[in-house]
Amino acid sequence: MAYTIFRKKIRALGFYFVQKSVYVKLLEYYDKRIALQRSLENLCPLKGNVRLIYLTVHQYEKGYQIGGEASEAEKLILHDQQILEF
Amino acid sequence: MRTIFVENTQRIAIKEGLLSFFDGDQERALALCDVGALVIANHSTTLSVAACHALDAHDVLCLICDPKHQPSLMMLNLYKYHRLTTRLKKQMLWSVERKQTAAKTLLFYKILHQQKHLEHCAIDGFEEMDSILMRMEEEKSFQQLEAQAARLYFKRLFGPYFIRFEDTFINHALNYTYMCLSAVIAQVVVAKGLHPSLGILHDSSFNNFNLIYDLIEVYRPLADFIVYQSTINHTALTKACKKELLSIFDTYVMFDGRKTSLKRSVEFFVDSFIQHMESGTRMHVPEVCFGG
Repeated sequence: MAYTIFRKKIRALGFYFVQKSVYVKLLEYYDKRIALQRSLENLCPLKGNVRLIYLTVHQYEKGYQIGGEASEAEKLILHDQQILEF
Repeated sequence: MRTIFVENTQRIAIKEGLLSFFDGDQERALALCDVGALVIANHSTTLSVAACHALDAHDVLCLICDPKHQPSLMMLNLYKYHRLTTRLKKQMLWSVERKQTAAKTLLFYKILHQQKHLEHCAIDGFEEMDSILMRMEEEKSFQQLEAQAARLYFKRLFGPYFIRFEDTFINHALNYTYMCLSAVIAQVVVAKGLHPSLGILHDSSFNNFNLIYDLIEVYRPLADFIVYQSTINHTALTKACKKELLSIFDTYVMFDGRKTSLKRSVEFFVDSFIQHMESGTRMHVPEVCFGG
């Protein structure tokens, strides 16, 4: 239950689902991480393990996909065009 | 912040807190904090009321195109400012002297940016624009000088046969980009509690956006620059051309020596404008950058 509520709130913050228990958010600039961290601290359930890792887009793209494929959300976030056509 | 150009979506709604785009079985979703502007070009797209409220809550600019594919409708929340009545009363009492100085400043910087644009594109006209700027500082009737500068500027930029408001690709592209720019300014102006109809330079009773048309003057050369760049690769207002024009939402300008996004600069500019009109402090104007 706590996980469901937490998941709903981080999605509203702009985190996208990558795989189970892994969510990713694109920050416009590095200084925004302070506000994001504070928001997550307020939302974090009392029990459970929540970790925040910062990567550049370049570092993220260098990751190696062993099985499965990138989620739709990842493809959207890593899209290099500012203007998306839907 | 992305700009979403909607052409193949049947329905736009909010699902699980995300802005979701439905096209048959296909569904794509984006967080509202990642969307800067939404341009709806498809007339059969449905936009839910919940989505309208969510777009407003997250300050997402929403533009809807008319049957001619020109942006013509924008969503504006006129009652967002917390002290709206106080602000409107002050706006109605702006002194004529401050309106004059603000109008002169706006037109001065418009002509200055036009001059910089011509210089950036290596087009002749620097000296003529310079003489207009010098006359502007000395003469009281500056509006005629604006017209002279515009005539010179557009002829040099788009050719000697260019006539504004003719039915040509360049004019359609200019209208498209100016409308996008107007929407950014209108959103900030109403968010700060000002009424868009009460202008300082433009005063037409048939124009509901007099103030927007005043404040956009400083930014117009930026829109002209984007249109001028698009004419290199395009001869008609195609989808690819429109996507180039929509890049105006992601441009940067200089404000007080710092590089800021277009929307952020408009916020600083409108704040400075309000302070000038209400207290007489010096108005800070953005500096348009050409070519990055």
